[in-house]
Amino acid sequence: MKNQTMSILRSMLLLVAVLLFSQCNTEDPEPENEEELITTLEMTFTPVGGGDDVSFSIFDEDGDGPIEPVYTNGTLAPNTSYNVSIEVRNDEENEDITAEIVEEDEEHQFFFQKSNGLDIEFAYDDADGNGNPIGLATVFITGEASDGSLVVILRHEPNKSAEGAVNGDPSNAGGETDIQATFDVVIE
Amino acid sequence: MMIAQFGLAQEKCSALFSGQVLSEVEHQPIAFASIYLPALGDGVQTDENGYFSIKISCHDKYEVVISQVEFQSITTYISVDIQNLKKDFYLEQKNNILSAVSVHSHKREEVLLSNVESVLSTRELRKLKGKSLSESVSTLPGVYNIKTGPGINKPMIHGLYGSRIQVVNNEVSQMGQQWGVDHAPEIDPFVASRITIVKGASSVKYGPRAIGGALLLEPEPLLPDSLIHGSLDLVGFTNGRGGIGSAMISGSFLLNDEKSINWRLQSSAKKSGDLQAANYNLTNTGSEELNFSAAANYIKQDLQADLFYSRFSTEIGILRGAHIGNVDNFFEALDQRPPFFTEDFSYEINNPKQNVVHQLLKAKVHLDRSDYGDFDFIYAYQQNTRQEFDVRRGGRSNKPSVDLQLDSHVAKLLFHHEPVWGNLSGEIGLDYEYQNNKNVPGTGTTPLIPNYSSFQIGTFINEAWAEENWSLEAGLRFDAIGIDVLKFNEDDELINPQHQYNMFSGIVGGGYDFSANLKYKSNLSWSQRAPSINELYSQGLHHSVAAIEEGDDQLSPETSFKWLHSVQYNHKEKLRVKVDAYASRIQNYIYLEPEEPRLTIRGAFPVYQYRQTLADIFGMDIMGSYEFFHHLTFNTKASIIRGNDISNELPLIFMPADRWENSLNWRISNVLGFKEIDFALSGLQVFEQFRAPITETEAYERATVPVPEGYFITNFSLDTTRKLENAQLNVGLSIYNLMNTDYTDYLNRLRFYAAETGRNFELRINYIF
Repeated sequence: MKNQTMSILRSMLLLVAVLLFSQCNTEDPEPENEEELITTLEMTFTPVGGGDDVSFSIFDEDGDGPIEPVYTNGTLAPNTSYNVSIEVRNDEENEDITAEIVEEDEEHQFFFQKSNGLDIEFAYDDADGNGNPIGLATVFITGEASDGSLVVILRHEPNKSAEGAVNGDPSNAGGETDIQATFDVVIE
Repeated sequence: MMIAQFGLAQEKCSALFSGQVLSEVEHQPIAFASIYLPALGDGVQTDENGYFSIKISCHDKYEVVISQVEFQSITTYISVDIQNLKKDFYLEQKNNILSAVSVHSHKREEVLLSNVESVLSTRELRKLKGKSLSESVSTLPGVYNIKTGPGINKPMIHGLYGSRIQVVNNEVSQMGQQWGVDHAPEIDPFVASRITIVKGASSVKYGPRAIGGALLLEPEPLLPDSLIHGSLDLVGFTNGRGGIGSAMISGSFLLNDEKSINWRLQSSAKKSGDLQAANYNLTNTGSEELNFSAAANYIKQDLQADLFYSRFSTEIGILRGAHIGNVDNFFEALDQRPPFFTEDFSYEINNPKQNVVHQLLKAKVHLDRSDYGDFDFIYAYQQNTRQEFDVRRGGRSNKPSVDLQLDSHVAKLLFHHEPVWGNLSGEIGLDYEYQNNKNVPGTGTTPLIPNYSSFQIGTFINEAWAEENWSLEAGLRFDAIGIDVLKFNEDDELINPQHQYNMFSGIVGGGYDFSANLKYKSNLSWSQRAPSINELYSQGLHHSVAAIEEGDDQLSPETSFKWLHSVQYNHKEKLRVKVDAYASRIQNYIYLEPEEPRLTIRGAFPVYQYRQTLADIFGMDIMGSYEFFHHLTFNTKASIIRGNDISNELPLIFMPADRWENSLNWRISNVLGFKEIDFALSGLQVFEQFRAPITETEAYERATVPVPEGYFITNFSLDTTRKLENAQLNVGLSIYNLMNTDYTDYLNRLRFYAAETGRNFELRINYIF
């Protein structure tokens, strides 16, 4: 009986030894590109009556990472109409995200919020398959000389029929913010 | 499955002596308790519901001994005149001061020795068959349920959860991604016939992760039986318009008197659509589960070899309205009722969602050497795969954002020695754990936790000295863990950090019975826990709270001291009171500290960094019951807990609010063809958490996020038991949130976006043969 016990114990110990020392090490991770990374938003103001383009941009090389975004701000002329186009890119991968937005236009919308002091009006100049605005193309009309901030927000899956959404107000639209850039705008 | 043995010589005048054997405090029926009358040299066993009856001759006084393996025996006297005598008995749980240390092994031991032939199911679990594991255990005082929406439930014991609680499923430490608050234990509750919560620090027995307690799940013991047995469960519920089905069958091949091969197969499935809050649909909160398990063993006189396999798989939808981008989205969602994206009821599960599969393969050998003790050897392999799907851009939604595979091997060698020098009994053990975690490539996201492998080895000893009215126990443990990490740093270079931690734990405790009615026990434990992988290396954005969490690879182990007291008092078998009080101090308590918010192209995000502080957690659980008259009982349970961050002079975040539950139970027996009908009406009052610290989001936005108000909800249940020929049928009906109260709970991480679930009718049918 005792021998049997010992032999079972011995075989158990052998099993343990086999299990414990036959294991592999940590696997090498494969580098993952942050596929949905957006680094850059560029907003180009083209005066309707001709003239030089004015460009505003935000560049954040690491997305959610600790490096702070870099802004480039511009100066607009008073009492001028601008055709505005927005381009979104991942400059780390040379990827044009504008095309992705166009493809999924019903799921995306840009919203625009200006601070009180800034004398500027805007209107959407494009529409998705349902006739709702996207915001890649807009028209901005400046008023008198003033300055303030313009917040440009890109939402993924907002409710475009929510109150105020078609006028560029995101507060009832929900969805997930993909871009939120605050530009300092000077009209002079 | 009644095992009554009538075998008494008929006397000229005989009376029927009957009644029920129940546990003290909880008043749970005790199955297979023996009622022995030494004068007659005969006795009877209680059935599954604790009932017994025996014919004895009248006009006499008898000594009666009532005993059951898990309870303390009592000896009492009855006198029988010509009338039948009906009497109930209450037994007290065996003195398991180090419940942490002793319960598990004793139970297994005794289950084997007593050769119990059938189910040891508890009445409570049967009533909770429609609930998740965590919801079920949170009905116990001192245990709370942390939720991430209605579908993801995680248990919390005395304020601690996740990596600070060890779930032990079928004697094997559960190895999942337990660090995540939104990662529920990957266990099919239908496998368990008994669930034990160990409230004290139980690191000595269950390893460093049991610093805050342990949750033990045990299946029915698999023992020789000449008959095929089985059970069938059907549960239907209105909130979610879902159902659960479970089937189990078991049998044996009896080779000869001493040898047998026993087997059991079990499976369960669940399907639920969107759940509903009191006033609106909770879009995308449906879930599905499909589980399977098979067990077999070989039993010989002094040897038992077990093989067990289980596969758990689930798909859980997460409230669509809780998926947000940045802090502005958070504050917009906070005011939005019904939540954003609310649609009509649907069974569809869309993103965000989780797909989790957990497999367990266990082998065990038990050797019984009655002259000096017994040995257990357990080996288990577990594979946990977790995929989390987010709402993504550019057609990537069918790609998981998190895709983890965790393989683990655990081995345990345990020697339980027979009492030496009189009353000293105990055990020594050796534990081994190996984990290998990898991020399955192809997510297109930066991994939340890195690839790593860890190797942990531990050894422990527990000894107990028990006398008639006092006992003393002590245990010691040492563990060493090595963690090998491979990850990319900020410059995309592969780095290989390595960590090594040593951890000690110990416990001393004792108990003293002042009288049969007043009992006291206490234990003092210290435990150490190494930082978990997320605390060291977590990196990324949590969408449901719009916060960035960052690990710190310089963290050192936590050390916890916990002092637990328990006093139990009974008065005339009518009034029962039990008070558990505890105080713990945790050095290097690891928590998330808010840092400066981070500006990104997506807007502002609060950043939380894992830091260490000195923390105190103390509190009290009170249970009481009073029996007004036969089987009409009033029960009360209250839990109070306080947590403080001493270094920063702040309350600890995410501590449960005070709660108080009262219930009225009425049980009637043998009416309308039912063996038993049980009514219960309960009311749960949860108070407002006034001690919630201000969060960084609030500080940053200078806007307060209201803490949920207190709430009161009522539940009703009706349970019936009917005995059929060689079978038993239990039918139960429950109504949860009877008044359809609209409320939110502080421990629900999605409380900002939606209310808790509304009224739910649940019908449970359980057939056992």
